[in-house]
Amino acid sequence: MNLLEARDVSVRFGSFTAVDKVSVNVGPGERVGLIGPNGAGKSSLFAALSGFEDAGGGTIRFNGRDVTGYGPVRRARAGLGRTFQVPKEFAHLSVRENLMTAAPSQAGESLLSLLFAASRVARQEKEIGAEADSHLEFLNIAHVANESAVRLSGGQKKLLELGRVLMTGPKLILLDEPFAGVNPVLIGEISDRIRELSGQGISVLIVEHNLNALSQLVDRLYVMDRGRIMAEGKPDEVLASDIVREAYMGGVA
Amino acid sequence: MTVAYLMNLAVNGAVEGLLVGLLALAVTLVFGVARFPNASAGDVAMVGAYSGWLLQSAIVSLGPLSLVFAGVTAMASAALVSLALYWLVFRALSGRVGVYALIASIGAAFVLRSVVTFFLGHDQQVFAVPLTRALSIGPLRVLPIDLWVGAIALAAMVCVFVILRMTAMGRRMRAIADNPQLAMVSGIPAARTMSGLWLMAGALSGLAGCLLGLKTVIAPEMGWDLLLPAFAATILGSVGNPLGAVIGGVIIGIAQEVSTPFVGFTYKIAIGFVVMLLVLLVRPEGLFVARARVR
Repeated sequence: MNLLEARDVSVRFGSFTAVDKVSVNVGPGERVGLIGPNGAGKSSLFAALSGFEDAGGGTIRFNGRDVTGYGPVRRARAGLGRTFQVPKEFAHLSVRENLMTAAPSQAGESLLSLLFAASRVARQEKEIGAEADSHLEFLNIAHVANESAVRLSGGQKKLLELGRVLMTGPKLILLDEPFAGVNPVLIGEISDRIRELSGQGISVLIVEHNLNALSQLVDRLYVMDRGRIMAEGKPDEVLASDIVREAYMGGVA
Repeated sequence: MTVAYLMNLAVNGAVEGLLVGLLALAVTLVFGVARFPNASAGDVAMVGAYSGWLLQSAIVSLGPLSLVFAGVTAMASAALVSLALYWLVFRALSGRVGVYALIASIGAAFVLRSVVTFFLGHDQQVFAVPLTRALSIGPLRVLPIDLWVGAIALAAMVCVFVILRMTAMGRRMRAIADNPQLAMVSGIPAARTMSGLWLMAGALSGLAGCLLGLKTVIAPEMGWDLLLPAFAATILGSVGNPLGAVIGGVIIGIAQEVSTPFVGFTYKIAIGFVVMLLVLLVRPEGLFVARARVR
């Protein structure tokens, strides 16, 4: 059974159709790529999958549940996490706080438990802190744990985003251009982390323009152009097909 | 006019400034997270003062202990009024430009004041405070009640900073202030954090109102009169910066009091704004920059 099943998802902005009845599936622990030229509708599809845009009459099932009517908060809590093309961070929180704040259902969120269940709050705070630290270790950014997030480099912010999503206990992570503006060494490192995560059963759906790094990483590839899925299959087969060459290079090749 | 006289005014102004700062803290927290200047904060403070006074009138036989209960009542009732305003009014406006919520908050302020004057009239009221002798510290003569008021205001501020910096609730408030969209994809339910924010802002306002009532008198206009310098303090200390709001409040409180011998009581509110304008001419971003913000 698929973890994510999106059927006939459409995203329209006025009279412009950015995503036109697109269907995508992601299985448990699977690594899937989504490529296509600029303006193909990849980011709009991500917006619909993460609950920022309406599914336009389509349906989105996740982990056996119909999440079509869920907003971004409920989708995140259901285990559908995402990162952003331009990495976002809570700029004035420390790196560690960025992770800690994403942990679900914390007792210390409520004034009442702060007043009357202080020991439980303190214990949970410690657990969440330890979890954040282990993710920071895993992502190799533990040395900047107490820095303001705004001071991280672009590549470190990508890792921070991944860490923040991991704190929410995701089953699927939508990664929006994880390699953009990242140096080659760090690309290898991020790829390794993604492989390890899928080894733990966490699926990823990755939008990426770095086809070389992506094709080595994913099990399966979707190609999008002008709002539609043009091709799907194993990375090397898909990349060798004429349809993809045409979409990317306007038929010159 | 002696130096000692001015120094006494300055001390008095500092205590009043802490109260301005307390309300400014409530205003700046709401601004940082909910993104609009909440003009109902002053009248929420007034509601706190009246409910504290009502309770104290009923249990005045308890002596000074009745004042403690009055303070707790003021904070609790103002917190609930503030939470109710969020759920009934401001939550529905949260997606819109801040000016909608600002106008709504002005309306809420008038409604609160009308309700209070309808039931309790326009007369000034006072807390039953035990008479005490002023303490002499060098040239200064300080009333013990002023020391209490200042100390309680400071303690409340410390509590707010602890909550903001050291608890999950404060972390989430700062996260939402920082990037509401990212907070959503991180699965942070805004309504819960916002409820905490409005409770906290309400309790701070209620305490400010109650302490002002203790120091001076309780009147229907007291909240509005405290709100204007609190707005000035918020801007002076850089909008959204909690510590800035407190320091801005103290500066304005001192400026207002020390100016009274020169300009008279009537114009002292204007002095707060003059100070604010002068500082903004030199530092348009306020005294402090974004660094220490809520956000």
